[in-house]
Formats: sequence, C-alpha cells, structure tokens
Amino acid sequence: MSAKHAVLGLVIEQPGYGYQLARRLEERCAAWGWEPSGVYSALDSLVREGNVRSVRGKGSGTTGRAAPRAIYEATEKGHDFFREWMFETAPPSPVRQELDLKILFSGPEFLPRLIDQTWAQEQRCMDDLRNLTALSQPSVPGAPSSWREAAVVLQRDAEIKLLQVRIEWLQNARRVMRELHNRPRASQRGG
Amino acid sequence: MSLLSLKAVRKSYWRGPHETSVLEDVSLEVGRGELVAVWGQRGAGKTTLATIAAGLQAPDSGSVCFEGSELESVRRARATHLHEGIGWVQRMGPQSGDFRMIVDYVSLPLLGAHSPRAARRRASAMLARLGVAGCAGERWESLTDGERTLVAVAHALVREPRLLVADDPTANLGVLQREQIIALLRQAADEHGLGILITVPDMPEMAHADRIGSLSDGRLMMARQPAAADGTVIDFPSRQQSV
Repeated sequence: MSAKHAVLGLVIEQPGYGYQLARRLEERCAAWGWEPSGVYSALDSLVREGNVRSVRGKGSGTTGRAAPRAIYEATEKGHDFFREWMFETAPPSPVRQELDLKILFSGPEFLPRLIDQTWAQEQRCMDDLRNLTALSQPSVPGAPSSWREAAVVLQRDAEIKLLQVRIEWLQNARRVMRELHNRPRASQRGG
Repeated sequence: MSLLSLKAVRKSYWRGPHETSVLEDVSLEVGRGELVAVWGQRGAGKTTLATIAAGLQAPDSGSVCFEGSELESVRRARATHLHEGIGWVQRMGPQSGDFRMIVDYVSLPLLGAHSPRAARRRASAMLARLGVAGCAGERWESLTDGERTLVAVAHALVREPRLLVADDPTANLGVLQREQIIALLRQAADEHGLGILITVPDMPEMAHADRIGSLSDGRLMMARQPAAADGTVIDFPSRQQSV
C-alpha cells in the first residue's frame, strides 16, 4: 500500500512543508516503514490528481530571505477523495510466508531443520516486536483521552497482534513437528 | 549489578506419575528502573516464572538473586512475608473479610513497621498517586476491574519496594485501561527507579517495556535490542535511569 492516503490524511489534519510531513508520517506510522522519499512521490501524485495544492510559504531563516518553500494543503476534491477512502471497506491482507510453503512440501527427514527454522523465525519476530515497542512513545499516565491517542494505540496493537499470531503459530507448529519427529518411524508412514 | 537475576532456573511439576517440565534453563535479569515483560501462551509457565522471581516459590535448580543475594523463598500463601524489597501484585484482593475498607487493605503491608494511623496515611497517599483516592473508603467487591488492578498495585507499592513483580496485571481490562496501567508502571520505573517484571498473555501489553521475552517449551527467548543499520545499539535516553 502506498503512503498516498496517509499523506493526504496528514495534510488534511494540518498543511505543512514536505519535510514536516515526512517527519510527521514517521512519527505516526513508523511501523509501516515508508521512506521519506515516498512522501514526496505521494505529494507529487496527489498534486497531479488535484487532491492537494502547493502554496508558497514564508522564506526560512531569521531574516526570512531564504527561498520560500512549498506548503501543501488539501483541496476540496482531496477532502472528498479522503472521505470516500474512509467509507470504503478495507479487505484484510493475506499473509503468506515462505516457511509455510516449506512445511507443506517437506518430508519427515527435514523436520529437525524446520524446527530450527521456527526458532529462528520466532527470534526474528521478537526482534521486530522489540523494534515496534521501542518506537512506541511512553504515554502520559492516564488512559488515552482523545481519539487521536486511542487511534495510535489501536494501530500499534494491530501491528503487534500480527506478530503475536505468527509467534503462537510457530510455537504450535514446532510442538507438532517435535512430537512427530520423536515418534517411531513406522507410525509416520501412511500419513 | 542487576536488581534481580535468575540463572539457569529449572522447575517441573509432578502430575501423578508424570513429570512435566515448565522451566528449563531460564535466565533473566531486571535492572533498576527497567520494565521487563515476558509473554507466553496459556500454560507456558508465566505464573511459575513470576512466583519464582518474587521468591514465592523455589526453583528445582538454578539461582534467584535479589540485589546480589540468593533469594530465600517463602510460601505463596504467605505473600505478606515477602522480601522487604519486593512487591507482589496480588489481583485476588483481600484474602480475608476483615478489611472493611480498601485503605485498610492497602495499609496492611505497613503494619508492624508503622502505627496504624501512619500506615493509613501512607496507604491513602499511594492510592492518590495511582489516581484511585476515591476507592479508599470502598469495599473490594464494589470496585471495577480497573480499580482492583490499581488497588492491587498500590498494595504492592506501599512498602516502596525496589522490585515489583506482577503476573498478568492487566487481565480482563479493556485496551484503554490497559494503557493506563502499563503507563503507570512505566512512570514508576522511570521516576522512582523501580525494577519491574510483568508477565502478560497478550503482546500489546509489552508496548512500553524496555526488554521483552517469549516463554515457550520451557525456554525464554529475549528479543535482541534494536540495532541501527551500522550494527550499533540505539540508545533511548528517555528510558535510561540513573542508578
């Protein structure tokens, strides 16, 4: 998914320079892994489509003499486009992993290697989870009081839950593989 | 030196003639001002790990050290006899009907060391610090799940322990209440240098932890610290606590 809708959402919340928008996108959607360059291509595309327009801001620096920068703001068409996107039903994205395919086509002789791979993938998931939790801002004590704060929590939960489901599956798959690997060979035939 | 250090801890239970291994060679450290969260599926051994870490149960082998000294375990039923530096979050609430008011329950761990009046004063202050001053005159039965959790944390913190251990502190709470509890624990670690170990059945509860781990098949897998592209570990100044 491109950063286009997210960038438009940011511009609707508050117009800004390209750099400011890139920073805000990084703060709000860190888990999505969008590059700052993606913000500029999203802005170009939004401007081309008439959803966003650029206006001249004040010059930078203490004297204000430096070249004025473009401030991006949403057009009426952009507001309509964003509203339509909000109303669309978002289909869940299927998650497919190479390891699942290996398990599907493996014979019993590969079980020890596949068990090792579940450990390795679980470690990777835990590291990814750690990166997510490290990015999460320590909250001010008290339950999130605004929708904006709650939405950030929900988005983070969605990312974390995906990893949790994967880790649970890896642990369960490992248990089954170990059980079958430890069984006498004869009982594995015909399965 | 770590506040809490578990090394090569093993624990198994006998169910009839069968021995079931719960923890196999588990090692874990919790430092001052550090929030460590351990996740595991149902039956993974989270409660066993938490009770061993709090000194409420002895491991079969391995060592459990608190502030550099081997921790002497007490029976779980005698949680009031915990090491003075360790707080245990007991979400079951008062185990006897003697406590008419929450403030009396929260002041219980202080009796003996303080007069009843001083103990109540400190208990009231702790309830206020956690934002549940209004519960002081209530009974446990009349509290919501969120209030019960906060009262349980107040009961554990009132002695001002250096280490807090909580087994599934946010059970039955909604997302926003969960955030409130975890943010409070985060604040206690940051501002008071409290070392905290929590076990959780749901990974979003680990969101504000300094270090996280996954318990399965008796093994504890800790996530590696985030590394920058050049391989150096990223330092998070807001999470650093002066010792």
